[in-house]
Amino acid sequence: MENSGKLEEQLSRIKKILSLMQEGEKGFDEQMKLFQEGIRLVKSSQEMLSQSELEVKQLLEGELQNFLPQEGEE
Amino acid sequence: MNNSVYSVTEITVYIRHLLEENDLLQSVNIQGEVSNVTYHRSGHVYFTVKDFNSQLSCVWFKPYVKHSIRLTEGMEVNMTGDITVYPPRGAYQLKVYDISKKGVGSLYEQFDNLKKQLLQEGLFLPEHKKAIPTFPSRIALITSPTGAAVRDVLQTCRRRYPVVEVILIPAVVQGEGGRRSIVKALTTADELGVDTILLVRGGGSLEDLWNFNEEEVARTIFSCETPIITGVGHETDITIADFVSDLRASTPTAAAELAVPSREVLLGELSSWETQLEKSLTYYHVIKQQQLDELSSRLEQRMLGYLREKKFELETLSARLEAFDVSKTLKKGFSISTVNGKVNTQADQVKEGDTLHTHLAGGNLESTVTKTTKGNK
Repeated sequence: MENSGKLEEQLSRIKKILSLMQEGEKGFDEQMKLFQEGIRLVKSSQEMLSQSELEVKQLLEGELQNFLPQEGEE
Repeated sequence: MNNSVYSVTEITVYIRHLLEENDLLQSVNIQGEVSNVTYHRSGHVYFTVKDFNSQLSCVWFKPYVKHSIRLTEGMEVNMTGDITVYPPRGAYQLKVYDISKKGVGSLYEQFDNLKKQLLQEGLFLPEHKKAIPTFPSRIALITSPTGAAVRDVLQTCRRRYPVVEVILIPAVVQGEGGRRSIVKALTTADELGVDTILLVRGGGSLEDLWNFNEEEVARTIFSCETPIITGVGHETDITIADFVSDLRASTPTAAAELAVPSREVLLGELSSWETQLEKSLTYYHVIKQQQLDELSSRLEQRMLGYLREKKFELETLSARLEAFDVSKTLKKGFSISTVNGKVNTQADQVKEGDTLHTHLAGGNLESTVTKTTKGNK
C-alpha cells in the first residue's frame, strides 16, 4: 500500500490528461499517447483500490503485531 | 409540650425531611481534610472529612466517582453535595457530587483557564492546522484497544477504504495514567511516519474525557508534525484536544470518515474518467476526420482548377502553333526543299548532281540539281 501516495499523483495526472485531451491541440501521436497513459493510470488506480482486506497492526512494546480485536466495554 | 410518642423511624423521617428540604444544605460546598477512605468493591467511595473540631461522613456514589482524582488520607479537598440522612445508622452524611483537590479549581474552571491560555498563545489558530492527506496509506490509531471506539474506526475504514493500513497504538484514555499514555502514544505515532493520526475515544462524562483536556496532551498534539484528527466523545463533547488538533470530528466514526476517502466514490469517479478519456479520443477523431474531409475536398477543387487552367493554356498554345503551320504556306504555291534531310535555303549548300527533295502542298518531288547560281541573297 506504499502506492497510496502514488494514487494521489495518479488521479491528478488523469485529470491533467483529460484537460490536455479536451484542448485537442496535440498531434495525433501525442493525443494517442495521452489516451493510453490515461487508461493505464485508470486501470492501475482501480487495481490499487481493489484491496479488500483492511490491514490492522498493533504497536506493542515497540513492535508491530497483528491486531486481534477483543471484546470489552468502553 | 408534646405528649405524643413517635417511633424511631417516624422521628428519623422527620429529621430527614428537615435536613433534605433545607436549601442551605443542598448543593453545598464544603472543604476539609480526607480521612478513612474506603474504595468499596461496589464502586462507591466512603470517607470522612474533618477540620480541627468536626468531622462529616461522606459517601461518593459510583456514578459520580471520577477517576482523575484518587482520594488519599490527609488530602485537602473541595466538595459539592447534598446533606442527607442515612436512617439505618441514624446518621447524617454528605452525598458527594463533585470533588477536587483544594487549590485546584473545578474541572470547568480548569477547562476554561487552559482554553483561554492556549487560545492566547495561538495554539488554535487556523494557520497551524495541517492539511489531512486525501489518500492516506498508513494511519495511526490511538485509543483503547478494547473500547467501542477502536471497533467503530476499524469498521469505518474497512467499509470505506480497506486500502489503508491501520496501526493501532494502544493508550489509556481515561483516569490516572491517561495523560502520560496519550502523550507517549502521540510521540510514537509521530515518529512512525504515518500519514494521519487518529486520536479517538468514546463518550463519557467530563471527568472520563478529562485526559483530553490536559495541557500536556494539548501541547503534544500541537507539536506533532503528522496531521491529527480527534474524535472524542459524542457530538456535543468538545475537548481542548479538539481545539488544538488539525481536524475535529464529533465521534470516532466521524473521525475515520474524515481520515479516509470512500473507495466507492473514487471507483465511480475513475470509471467516469475512463469514459471521458474515450470520449475525448473519439471526439478528437471526429474533429480530425472532419478536417481531413475538408482538406481533401479543397485538394480536389484545387486539382480541378489546375487542370482547367492547363487546358486553357494548352488551347492558347495550340492556336499560336497553328499560326505557324507550314501547310498553309505550301498551299499558296511555296515549297520546301531539303538536301540530305536539311532544309535548303542557299544555292551553295548544294552542288550539281545532288538530289533535291521538294515538299509541295500535295506530294513530293525528287529532282537532280543541274546548275547552282550564287548570290541573290
